[in-house]
Amino acid sequence: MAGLDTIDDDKEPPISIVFCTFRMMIAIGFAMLGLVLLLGLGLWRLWARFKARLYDAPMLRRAAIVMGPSGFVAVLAGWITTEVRRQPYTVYGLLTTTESASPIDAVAVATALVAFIVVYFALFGAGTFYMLRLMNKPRHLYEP
Amino acid sequence: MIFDLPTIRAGLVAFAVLAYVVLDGFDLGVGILFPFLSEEEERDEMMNSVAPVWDGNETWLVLGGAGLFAVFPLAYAVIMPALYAPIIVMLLGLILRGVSFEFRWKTKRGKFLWDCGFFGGSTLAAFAQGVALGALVQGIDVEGRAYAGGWWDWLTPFILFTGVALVVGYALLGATWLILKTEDRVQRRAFDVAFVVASSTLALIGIVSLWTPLLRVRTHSEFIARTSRLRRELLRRGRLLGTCRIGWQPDASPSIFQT
Repeated sequence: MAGLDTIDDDKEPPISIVFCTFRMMIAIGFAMLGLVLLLGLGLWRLWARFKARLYDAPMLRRAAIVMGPSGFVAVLAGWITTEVRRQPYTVYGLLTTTESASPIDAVAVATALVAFIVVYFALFGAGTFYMLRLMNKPRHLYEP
Repeated sequence: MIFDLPTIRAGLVAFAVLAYVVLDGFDLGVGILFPFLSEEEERDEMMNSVAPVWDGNETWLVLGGAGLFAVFPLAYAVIMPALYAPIIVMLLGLILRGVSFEFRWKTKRGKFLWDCGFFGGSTLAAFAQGVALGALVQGIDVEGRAYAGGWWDWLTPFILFTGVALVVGYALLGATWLILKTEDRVQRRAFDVAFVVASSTLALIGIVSLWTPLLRVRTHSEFIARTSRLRRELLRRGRLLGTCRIGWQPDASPSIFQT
């Protein structure tokens, strides 16, 4: 395989971005694996001996909460890795991104992007608000 | 007709679009009819009737769109820039409609807001689809292998009219679905609505069908020339119908369709 120094400078993708996101993705993947193992091993141990220790491990619970959005972040990092390191080609060696762009104005695309951002912020905001409100309610025995 | 691969693939995409129109037609139609039933329980009943199935129905749109991209990529590459604004509006309408299903149950004060979101999203999506249909009927400027028109080519009276017509058509589908799936009060209201909407749909279909060939007509003399045969036939059948009425014999069948 040809090394990166043999490729012309104008055909190189921006390496710094790809470096960071790739390692981010792999790190989150291993962290997930570690958490699962910890939880799993903890479960086995408590079944063998203590049977109540899992709920008394605050660090483990905190780690589980922190890893909540990690799937989302890992997927985004993976996509950024793929899409950035593909540049400047759409099809490697054959079609560059500039050649494969549609004849759409920057204004039209920007308007669409702004519209999507506004709608997504509104809907995600409302969703988060409802979720937080649901989480803040005291626990019921039966869900209405 | 030769059954080669492009024909078969075009048939698949056409089937996907047909399935989408029939299936998502009724759940968009239920959304379009939302403000016409004003009781809270009625609205809940309407929404519950489509809640289990609307997700699956929308996937036919994905099949149609992605199928078009896979099967006729050049057509896709020409149509998407031409219909950029209607398609973005349709997507935003579908997004809004989708979340309204879920957010409606989570709030009491804001329930009316999400009712509006459901109605607005459904109507917007249906209207945008009608605009896309009208733009395809009206024609898209192509030069070489790329789209060669402007960004507002789809803003013409004919296309806006087809948008409205599709909204009414989807309302018909929604009303008939409600007739099928609900009972008592909602069903009676749905019967009333269905009658009105069905006759409107027929009228609008007639108008669009008559308007379509006139899209190509640019001057009055061309209008006279192109519609001469149609007008002659209409006059002739009108006269025959008139004479046949006057000389009606109970046991003679009127033969207005004789040439």
